[in-house]
Amino acid sequence: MEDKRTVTSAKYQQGFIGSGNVNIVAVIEGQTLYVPLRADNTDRMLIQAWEDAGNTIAEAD
Amino acid sequence: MALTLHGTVADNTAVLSRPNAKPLIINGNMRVKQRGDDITGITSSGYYSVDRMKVDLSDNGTWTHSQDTSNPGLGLTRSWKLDCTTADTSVAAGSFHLARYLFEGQDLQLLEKGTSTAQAVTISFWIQATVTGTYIAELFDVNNSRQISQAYTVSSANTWEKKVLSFVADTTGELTNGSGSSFGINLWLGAGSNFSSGTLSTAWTSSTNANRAVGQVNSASSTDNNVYFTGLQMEVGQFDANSIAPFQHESFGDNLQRCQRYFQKYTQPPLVGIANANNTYARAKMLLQTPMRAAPTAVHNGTFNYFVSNSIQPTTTAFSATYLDENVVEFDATTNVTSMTAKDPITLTQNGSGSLDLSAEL
Repeated sequence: MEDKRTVTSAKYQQGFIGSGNVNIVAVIEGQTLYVPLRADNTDRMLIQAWEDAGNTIAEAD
Repeated sequence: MALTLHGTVADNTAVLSRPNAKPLIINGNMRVKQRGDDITGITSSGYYSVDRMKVDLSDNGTWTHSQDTSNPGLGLTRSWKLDCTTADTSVAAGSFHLARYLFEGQDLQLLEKGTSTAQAVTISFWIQATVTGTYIAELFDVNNSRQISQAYTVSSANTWEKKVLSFVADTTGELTNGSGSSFGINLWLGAGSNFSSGTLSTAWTSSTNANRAVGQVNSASSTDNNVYFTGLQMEVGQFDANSIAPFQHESFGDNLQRCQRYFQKYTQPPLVGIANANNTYARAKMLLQTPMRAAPTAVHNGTFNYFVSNSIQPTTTAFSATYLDENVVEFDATTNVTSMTAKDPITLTQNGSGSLDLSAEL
């Protein structure tokens, strides 16, 4: 069935040492998740669908 | 050791010819519940209490999930309880509620699905439900969007009943030989007209939603309603109630380790690391006790204390994942106490009732 969980926000996260984006910090169903940048992670799949619907992952600070 | 046979000789091939060394379904006896009990307010899809057991749920009541001691015997000492806490007496067209078990494609290559030598499949489970009547069990090929459904009856309210349902082989649509979600057992609990207004699909076919759950009762009709499952098993081949092999019991340790491929909960994660040059944060990592299916999502609740020495144990003010992999995870833990020295080795100790959850579920 379609994953109907709600993505409220998503933002790339960089490590302190600055090796580029390492994860996505997302709020899904009201909970803060650290989601790896890996296509086989089901939360990353949900965020991809959220992007496909016209949303954008915010750049890291 | 004596070999006890039951039924006909042919019936006993169920065990003797079983092609899998371990149960295809992990935690089918519902013993492992890393996420805990009494998970309330469930209105959407996810994994909540008993490991590996998922619900897909949309607009069909509010539920509480628990591991329960109600059981049918036969060594099955626990069950997965779904308790309706807010009823849905008027099921909308798009509503759905399914208890699901999802498989990796690489674990079901023995079905030879999509080939001329494809194997039949039989599922068996115990159910106890308040609402009697017609329920729908479905096999769903995620890779090829194909499915087959079968109706069964819950005859007596709040009584354990064993169901054995055999499904023919599907010679169309191979399962991807990988670690992604490829195949699912769907035990429907509620279905709006979008999923029930057609003719029940009792042969393998491309999925048409209206034909998937025709006749399914509404388990969310009252807050008095409960549904329990246990003894979920899947066997390769066609079997009936007489010939189905007994449930394969595993040790709790083996069961837990297989569950941890998909979810790991730590209340005292073995994080060790090094303080950073600015003395306000440390990077800490840990090897996972079981390699996970995929890089996991991390969720952290509560706070940690650094342990640097007996006199230096600041509390973290921030905690974020920096590296998540199937075998290792790494975090940056920040504190506003500057009493650490750069390159101090540190450990992180859980402070209070918090936890670190890692999920690589399907």
